[in-house]
Amino acid sequence: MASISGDALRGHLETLVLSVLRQGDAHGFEILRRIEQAGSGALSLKEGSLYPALYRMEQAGLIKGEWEDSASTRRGPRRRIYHLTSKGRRRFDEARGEFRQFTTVINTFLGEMA
Amino acid sequence: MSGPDPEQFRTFVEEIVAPITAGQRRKVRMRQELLAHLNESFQRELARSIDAQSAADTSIRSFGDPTELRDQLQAAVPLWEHTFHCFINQKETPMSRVLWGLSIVAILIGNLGSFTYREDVYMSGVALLSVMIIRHLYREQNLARRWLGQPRQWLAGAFGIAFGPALVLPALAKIKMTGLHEPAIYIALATGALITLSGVGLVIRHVMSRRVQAA
Repeated sequence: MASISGDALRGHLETLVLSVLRQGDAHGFEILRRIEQAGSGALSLKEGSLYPALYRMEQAGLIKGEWEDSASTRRGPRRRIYHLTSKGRRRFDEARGEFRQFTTVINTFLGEMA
Repeated sequence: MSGPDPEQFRTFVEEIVAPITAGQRRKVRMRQELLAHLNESFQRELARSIDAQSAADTSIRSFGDPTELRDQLQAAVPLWEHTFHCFINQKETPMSRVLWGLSIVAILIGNLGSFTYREDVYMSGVALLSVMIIRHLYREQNLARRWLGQPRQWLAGAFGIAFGPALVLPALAKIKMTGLHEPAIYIALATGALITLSGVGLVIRHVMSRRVQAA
């Protein structure tokens, strides 16, 4: 399967993050891992580019991040755990609807051309 | 379990975060999150690699190009915060704040004052402010880049170089012909000089970034 990367993926990164966070709270690395897992290796994302998206989404009130408990037994720098806000949930529902409509229309064209 | 070379990840993260214009709190957060991610990525890669060094190298490679990421992170900083910290919180060059302040005070005194040499004070302020603006535009993460976007920088610069002298030259001609030192003439002169010099700064910045890209 050809990998989806670059601009094609960046355009949908926000929706993918919202979708992943619907399954449960997660930190950056875990979000990325879930996206890769759900994409079965077809999604190829430069890992660092997740963070600007997370910051923009947090500013827009779609997600909220909190530092993990400092009493955690894990070593290394603290991680920031993100969860979906109610605004984020609404945004996800809208995005899903828009995307379904988009694929339905495109499929109609592709179907006719085949 | 072996750990990554802390300096290698820290240097990489610094390369990304240090030039970003933002509040210290935001930058600390970026550093922590990026470092935490690299550490996790390292642990994952270590399970697949033969040694710690190649695991660390792979983690850094998968993280992406630091310049591109820096731009993306800068774009995620709210515009008000970017603007504020351009002029206020430049820890690395504390004198800048003093110079920005001085130039603005000189312009205010020159504009509002009533003593004989106010034009001189005004022009000194304008000159200083122009230098500071050019200096700012020379920085990688400048505000023009944020407002106009990278590709349009040179176009705005060319416009400044073309349009600025249209204010400067008539003002100079008027001073020479009439010998008048009216504030309106100086305002036109100062505005024209600012536009021209900003244009020069933008074009220089654009040429420099193209050369860096080409290299």
